[in-house]
Amino acid sequence: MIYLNNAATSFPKPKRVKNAVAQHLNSPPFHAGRTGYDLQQKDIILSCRKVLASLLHIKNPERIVFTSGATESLCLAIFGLELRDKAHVITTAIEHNSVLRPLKTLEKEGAITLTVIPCNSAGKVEASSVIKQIGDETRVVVVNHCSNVSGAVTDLAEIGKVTSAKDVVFLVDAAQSAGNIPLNVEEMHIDLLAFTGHKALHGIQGIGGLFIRESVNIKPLKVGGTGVKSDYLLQPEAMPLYYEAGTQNMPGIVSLYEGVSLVLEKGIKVLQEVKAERVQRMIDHLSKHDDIILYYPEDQDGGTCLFSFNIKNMDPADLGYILENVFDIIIRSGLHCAPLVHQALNSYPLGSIRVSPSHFTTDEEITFFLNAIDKICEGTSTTDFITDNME
Amino acid sequence: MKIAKIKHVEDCFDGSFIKEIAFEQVITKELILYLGSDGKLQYFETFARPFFKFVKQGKYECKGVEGNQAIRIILKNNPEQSLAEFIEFIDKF
Repeated sequence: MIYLNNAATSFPKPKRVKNAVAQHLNSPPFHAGRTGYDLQQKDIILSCRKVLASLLHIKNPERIVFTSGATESLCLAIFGLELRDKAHVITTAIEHNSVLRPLKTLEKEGAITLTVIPCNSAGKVEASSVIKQIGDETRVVVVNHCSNVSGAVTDLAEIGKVTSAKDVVFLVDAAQSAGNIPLNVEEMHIDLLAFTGHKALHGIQGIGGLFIRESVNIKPLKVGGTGVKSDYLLQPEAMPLYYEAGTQNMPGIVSLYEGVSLVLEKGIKVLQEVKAERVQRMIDHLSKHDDIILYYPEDQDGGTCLFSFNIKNMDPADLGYILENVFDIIIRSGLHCAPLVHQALNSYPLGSIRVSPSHFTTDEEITFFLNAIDKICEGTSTTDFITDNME
Repeated sequence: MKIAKIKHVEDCFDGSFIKEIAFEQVITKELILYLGSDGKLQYFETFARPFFKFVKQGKYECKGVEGNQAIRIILKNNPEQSLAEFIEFIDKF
């Protein structure tokens, strides 16, 4: 099996991630504050916040809150801001449904008015288009750092300069970029950064996080047990406990610690280059086919970690089925939970095939994938409907 | 052809259903051509493991690979009725 669906969930997981999770699961679960044996657990939680802070350039690791993934992080941020009275929010056409659905829900309830900034035909949102829409009434700007459909990257620093100057909350969805593209919350003036652990940070599914700048107040999504201050009947307001009611996802945190440590040790720019080279090789080959339509940002600094494509006159769901069932290649077909971007790419409503390698993807695997596409293109050009008994 | 198992995969937004249908025997070229006798058939015979897609307009679309034992079917409009029609049709093979 050849796995090219790392933008959904990365695979394979690094050996150190698997070993650490196995070791954790084979050890007794020491509950924070409830036994005398919890030091080891506290260490890994804090260590995980520290490596994340190092990767994302966050000054205070305790401003990082663990969640179940980017969707929960984005809901915590968007609903936690308690927007009301038609507060003006700006977002973009390249957003995932984990941003669009909470915002559309608030818009439907009359809590916000929403401006959606369009993207170009490669899924790229120009920072200047976002900045132009920031007015005196704007409360929040929500931007996807890296499109999960085309790989186009949004210039966060340019937008952040303006949101910071105008006291507008800047929320970034880094689901695709965390671990793939360098991020710096200080230089980019990011107030809220949502990320997930199971993609380019190499953790397991069910772990993610949200960075919350000191100056931003958001309400917790959940309250309850924290293992400490149990005599206090309200949610302890200290960070990060305020947002972390309930039992922590320790296997997730252990995996995330190892995954982020790996990214730090190898160097995010090195990993970015490796993935960009793999993607470019595929794009160069596929662009030779007249009947292939590619969706990716040309000449993007640092390249792209993923791209999408279609074969003319072929349903991407069929192509995905063929790749999986005939060639044993796992990719993703469809809208990728980002419906608006496909309207700009002209791939709506069927969507596209998305290809996302990891640094584990080998040259041989890429060659096999490209040969498979060559064969499919050859087949589509020579095979027509052999029976057509439709009335 | 006898059906061994029908597994529900997904409810689609447009009201159609996607199901996986497993047969008791592998899918042969003869079965694929039989399917083609009742609608529109696309058959990629040049693939090492030939892919096919069959469309019965307004009723269902199914796709699969020759040599496998299961197909994926998208049931349109009245999904229960369309499934019943497909089962009746395939039973005659």
